[in-house]
Amino acid sequence: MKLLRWLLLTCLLAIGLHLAFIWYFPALMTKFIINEITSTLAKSESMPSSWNYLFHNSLSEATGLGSSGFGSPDIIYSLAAYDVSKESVRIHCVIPKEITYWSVSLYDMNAQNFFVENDLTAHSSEFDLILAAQGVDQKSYTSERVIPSSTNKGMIFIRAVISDRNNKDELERITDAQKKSFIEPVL
Amino acid sequence: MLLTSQRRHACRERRLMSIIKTIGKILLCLVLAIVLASLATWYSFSSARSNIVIGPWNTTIRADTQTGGIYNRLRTADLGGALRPSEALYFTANTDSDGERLSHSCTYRIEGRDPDSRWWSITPYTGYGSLIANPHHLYSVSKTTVDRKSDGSWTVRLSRQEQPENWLPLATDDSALTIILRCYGPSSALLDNPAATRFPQIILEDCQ
Repeated sequence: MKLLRWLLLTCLLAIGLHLAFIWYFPALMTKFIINEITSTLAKSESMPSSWNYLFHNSLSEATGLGSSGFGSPDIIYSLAAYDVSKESVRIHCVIPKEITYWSVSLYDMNAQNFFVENDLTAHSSEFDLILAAQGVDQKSYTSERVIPSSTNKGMIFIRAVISDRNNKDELERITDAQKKSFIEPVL
Repeated sequence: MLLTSQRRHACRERRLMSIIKTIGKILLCLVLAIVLASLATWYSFSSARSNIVIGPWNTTIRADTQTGGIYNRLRTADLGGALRPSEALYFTANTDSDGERLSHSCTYRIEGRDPDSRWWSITPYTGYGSLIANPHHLYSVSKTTVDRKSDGSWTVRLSRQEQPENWLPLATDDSALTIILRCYGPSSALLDNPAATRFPQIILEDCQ
């Protein structure tokens, strides 16, 4: 009887620990990536604040940012860590011309990809999104699309595929267009 | 008097031993619980990684994230900010088409036709998930850069030695070799039933 009690206690503890890890792991993973964005990228651009700022990366090489973690060598990433707890943010998106693939994806703190728009689904080559906390009054934004985030913090990834990384003209065209995308607080 | 004192001492010792035994049991329970939880989590984690196998290629097509439970959330998190399946599918190979582990010291031939998607790429990685450093800056082959045969099919060789036509250099170290096939804008046929699609073969040619 005593042994059974101890075995039951062990099983309950194991189940609790397992569920706790499964529950928190997505948030831990997202925190890790956000930390990379806010510390590594912010340091490289000498930013005073790394939240709500869109960092534009160059194509990955075999060393440097993007070279590990199975990153793609054919994508130019623009990354941001967002915080909409105090104010909403406007994401201004510019889709490069003649692009092979382009998309903007939003992830909350549980690594849920709650929004994506690509170059085929977008209605125009330049558009704005308003990223806001849950419960924000959407009536004040008449022309832009409002995307509520289930968590106050999360990540924004803008991806542009380069069809040939040795094509300098294509690289320059797409890089220049990517740099026109930005994030700013909405007052 | 002496006897009473001895009895009290013996009593205290027994109580102390009992407390130590209980603490020992609790610690043992905790250690066993951590081991069991770790095994269960490892199993969830590894079974969440790939649940579709097509020849040497593995992929996970996760359910709609809006309706998934905590295990589906784990699958999403595992991909570290990857795109939704409707945007991109990622196929990983750690073995050749005969099931043998891939190695940087061998030469492989990847033969196939374009997967049914807007664009695709094939990229080899080291065992640490890094792109393979090489003086030619060759890291991937894609739909738009691959040299094709007259019937539209193509062959890509992966080797430490330079190869004619489509060639991707492999690493000089002996870490594990992983190849990722990315398909952007997969067709609905590919998305709904990837197992029914013919995927590129990975054929071992020789090893050093």
